[in-house]
Amino acid sequence: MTTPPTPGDISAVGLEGWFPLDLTRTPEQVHAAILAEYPAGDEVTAATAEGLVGMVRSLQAQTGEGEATGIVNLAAWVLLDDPATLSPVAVATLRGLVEESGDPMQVVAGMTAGAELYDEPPLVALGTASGPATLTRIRTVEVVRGGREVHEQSLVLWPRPQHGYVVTLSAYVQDLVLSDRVGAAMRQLATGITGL
Amino acid sequence: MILDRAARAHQSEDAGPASTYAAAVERSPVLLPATGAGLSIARGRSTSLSVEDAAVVLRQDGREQVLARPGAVTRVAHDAPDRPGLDPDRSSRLLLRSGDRAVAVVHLDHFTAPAVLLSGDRSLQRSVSGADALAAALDLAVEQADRTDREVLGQAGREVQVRGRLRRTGSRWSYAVLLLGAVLTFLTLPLLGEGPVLGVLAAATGLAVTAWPALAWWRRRRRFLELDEEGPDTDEGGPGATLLSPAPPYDDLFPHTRLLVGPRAVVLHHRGRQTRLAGADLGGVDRLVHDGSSATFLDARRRALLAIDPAFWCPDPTRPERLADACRRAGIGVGRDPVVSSGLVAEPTADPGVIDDDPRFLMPPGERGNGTAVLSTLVAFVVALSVVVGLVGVLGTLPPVTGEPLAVVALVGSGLVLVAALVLLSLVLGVRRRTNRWARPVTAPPTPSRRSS
Repeated sequence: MTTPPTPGDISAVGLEGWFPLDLTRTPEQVHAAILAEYPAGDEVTAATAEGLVGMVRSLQAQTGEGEATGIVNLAAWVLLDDPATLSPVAVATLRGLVEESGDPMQVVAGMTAGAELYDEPPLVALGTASGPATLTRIRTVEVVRGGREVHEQSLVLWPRPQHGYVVTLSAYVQDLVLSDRVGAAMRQLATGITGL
Repeated sequence: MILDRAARAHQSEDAGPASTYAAAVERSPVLLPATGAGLSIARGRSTSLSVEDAAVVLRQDGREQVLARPGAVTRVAHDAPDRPGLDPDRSSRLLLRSGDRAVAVVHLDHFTAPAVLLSGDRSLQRSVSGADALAAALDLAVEQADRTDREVLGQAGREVQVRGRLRRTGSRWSYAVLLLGAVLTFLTLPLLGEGPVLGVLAAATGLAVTAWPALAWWRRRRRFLELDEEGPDTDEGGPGATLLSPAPPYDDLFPHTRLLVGPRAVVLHHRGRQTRLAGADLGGVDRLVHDGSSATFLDARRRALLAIDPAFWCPDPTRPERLADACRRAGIGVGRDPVVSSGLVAEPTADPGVIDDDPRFLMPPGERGNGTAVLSTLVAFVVALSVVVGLVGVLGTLPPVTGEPLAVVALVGSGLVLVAALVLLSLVLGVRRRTNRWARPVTAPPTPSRRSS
């Protein structure tokens, strides 16, 4: 019996540079929350807010199909280039995935199956407010419009084999220079997440 | 399999806002200097850094050098301050490492279009400049410079520095030597009273010391003006390149301004400065979009690279056929798409009344050939002083011409000093006058070709 954590129990403390996207609210409420913090005074801010709300809608739809996909999206945060403006750099999503194994290596192997790896994902133990976790990054070679790009998924894993799932916090970037910064921010975010 | 799907879900959704940072893949692994002014024009058009058959090749000033053989580069890192600046001597650097050794330190701001540099987006800079493509051609990706990279950068020698512009021109010694010449020439004046030969010797020494920096300065100024008159090198644009002159009356106002539209490069040359974009063959410029009043070169991802004013280049800016034809020949698409405001300012512009101010202020001192007002005034002053000394020497030795050998030597010597100083002065003042004429402010007049809006 898989019993992922309840989104309402999850919170993040000590956020620096992250803006929360509350997946327990309706997209309209999330939109209002974004605009309350970042009034859409210009086209870019308005369009960015719309884009983030679209992402919330899509994450919620994916959760709705959870039984078929084995994925439950629990929470999301957006990393801002400048906390004073709505300037997204990356979005971190907290998910519950059906997974019997408690071995992080096996989880990572499952996620990278069939992908061309740029280098071996390093596994680093990380102490968090929700207990021990594993921090890693997966760099894959992607062929985009005929060209070769290296993308990176920054990933934190909380295995919960006794409940039949693993919780992941992941953010995806398409630029390795940016990934350095996102990786550091992910570590800080993961450390403060409670309720898993 | 569920996890595999999850990973894909992560990719497609998490990539949302970050997708603006997408790395370019269409770009060829060729970096071309994006801007160059004055003496750097020659450096800019002769320079390219590319990956060819997995080797890193630098072409510069007529020389070709393999910086790294295939497989030698193990890491590519970008060391950049958060916000780009405009000081060319403080460029962000792209480090190509082979183990713990730097094989190339590329001053990446020199290879980045000003519009992209001003956007402050370093990721965009790597993509548009070709840095990402360069790394990809080496089977690598650009990473953030870490502590080891910075140590390697700190130890990197002059021979691995790849610049698209001259660092500085002329020697800092020229100021010191010029001042020394001035002091020596001043000392000559009292010595003239001590005896004709001593005075002439001192005057000749002062002039000789002054002549070196003065001639070097004159040569640099002359080269600077020549480079502006030459304009872009058509060969640089590749086969099918078109060299456009401004439309009347701007062709008279700016006789050396040109726009080279070629498949390999697009080069805007205006008042001693050049802006260079990689052409369609290199995956750079892809389209020119215009709306009758403005035109912007975009890349394949519709990123604005350079704005131009169609009214400056075409008699009827609402039908920019000259521009369109040149673009089509260069493999650049032309569209009357509604131009999304790129925020870029076109220069040169046909706006009536806009004063194109002294262009020297837009160039670093090195690029304008040390053409600072202080130096040119100092050169003219010191050389003029030599003229005075030569004149005093001649006049001072004339009255008692008695046929004494020493007096004759003094007279001839003074005469030679005078002639040499006059020649030098005419060279210096001549090039100074040409420079001032070149740098004159220009006011564009209202013309019928100008759009009614």
